[in-house]
Amino acid sequence: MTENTEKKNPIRLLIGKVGLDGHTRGVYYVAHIFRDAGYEVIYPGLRQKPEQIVNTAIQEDVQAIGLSFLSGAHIPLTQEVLRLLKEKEAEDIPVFCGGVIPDDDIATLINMGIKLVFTPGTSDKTIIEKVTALLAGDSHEGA
Amino acid sequence: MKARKSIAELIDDIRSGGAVKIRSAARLMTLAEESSAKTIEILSSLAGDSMPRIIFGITGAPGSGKSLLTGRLIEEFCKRYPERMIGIIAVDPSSPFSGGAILGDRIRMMQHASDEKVFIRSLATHGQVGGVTEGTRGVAAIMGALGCDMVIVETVGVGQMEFAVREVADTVAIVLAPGQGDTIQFLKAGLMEIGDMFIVNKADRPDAAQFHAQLSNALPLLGREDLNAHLVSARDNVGISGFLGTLEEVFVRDHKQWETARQKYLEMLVKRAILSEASKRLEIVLEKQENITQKILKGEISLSSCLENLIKKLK
Repeated sequence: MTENTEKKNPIRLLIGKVGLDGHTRGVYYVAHIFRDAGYEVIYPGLRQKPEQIVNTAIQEDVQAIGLSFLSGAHIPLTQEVLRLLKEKEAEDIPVFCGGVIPDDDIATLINMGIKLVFTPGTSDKTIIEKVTALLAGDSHEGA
Repeated sequence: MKARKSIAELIDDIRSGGAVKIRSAARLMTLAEESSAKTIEILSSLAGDSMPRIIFGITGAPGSGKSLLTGRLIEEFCKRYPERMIGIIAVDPSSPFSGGAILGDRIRMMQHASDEKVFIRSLATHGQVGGVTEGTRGVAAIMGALGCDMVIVETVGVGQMEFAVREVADTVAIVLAPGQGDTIQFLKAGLMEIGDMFIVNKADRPDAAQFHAQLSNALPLLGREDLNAHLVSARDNVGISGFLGTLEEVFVRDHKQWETARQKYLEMLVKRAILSEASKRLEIVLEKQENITQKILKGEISLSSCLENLIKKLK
């Protein structure tokens, strides 16, 4: 018998906040919608250092990192996260962002290597669909 | 994008000790969680590698303070043995509806997330009851191969009937907090019987001393007069060091028996994996039988001859 009896476990995501930013509402909401969409969400708590985020992502073998911001520090902090991912040979883990991010910064973030940026008012459906599509193109998920 | 590595390649990475070591170990843990067959493949491949000296289980009701206590134990362990590595397996429940989960035990341990000597892995139950997952032993073995001296297995918040941690861990502490019942709760069958140690957490609360006294008085009635109930406060970091000392004493006293128990558990895991694989394969054949359940219900075919047929079709 060679039929496949493997079941796929849910996709694991790290959803977190980095830096001095205590606004939890958005990150809780996003963690919750991913949970309800069948994802496993690793939530590491508030005020994380970029290094803690990257180490957690690696130890937890997540397929993507989602970072929430309301501090205005989204550019330097995501830059540091991306740099550390590269340093630890984990730059294949995609990073997406959400929160209060000015329009002018979106292109900057995308150019830096952030895969998706969600601003206030984005529907839960859009967030799930876009992240799911992003990960469907990821070899980590396939064979 | 890199292609997925095989179990053998990932194990080679762990042994090679390069930068990729941690990443490959984490990936291997994902595989250990995918199926019992993979867990066994990993366990057998790692049979010659170092195993954790202590696999310590922490269990207790939701909110009794298991995660913060685990965080404090990491802190104390790192202080006491700065050269040693420690692994944490923290289990949280999966949703029975979406299959998703929020794994948040790490929050209480994040000060250690940038410490190279600490490896924390969160697992979701994926519908398994018992408080830990089928792959837990595999994950513990991978932590051993990474060099972890101790592995703490923190279960989901449990009720009265989650015992699986007893099988996977060498020794188990039950965490209780004031307000969780009186003597009669301690005397009930179930969870209270599987504890090798008892911890009363939240010593910072005014009713903790009384609760601790009640538990201490109940232990002889449970036939556990050999045990002490440790009164600690994870919040205020009180009593943690003493508890770790006790754990080391228990290791010295019991580690020979642990060895035998580990071996028995591994053999049981293999049996379970065979049966689980058999059941999955039978299910595939069963799904192809048209109206078989109807036929059995109408008495057209007996259940046992249906099973005989299915087994024949497997070959």
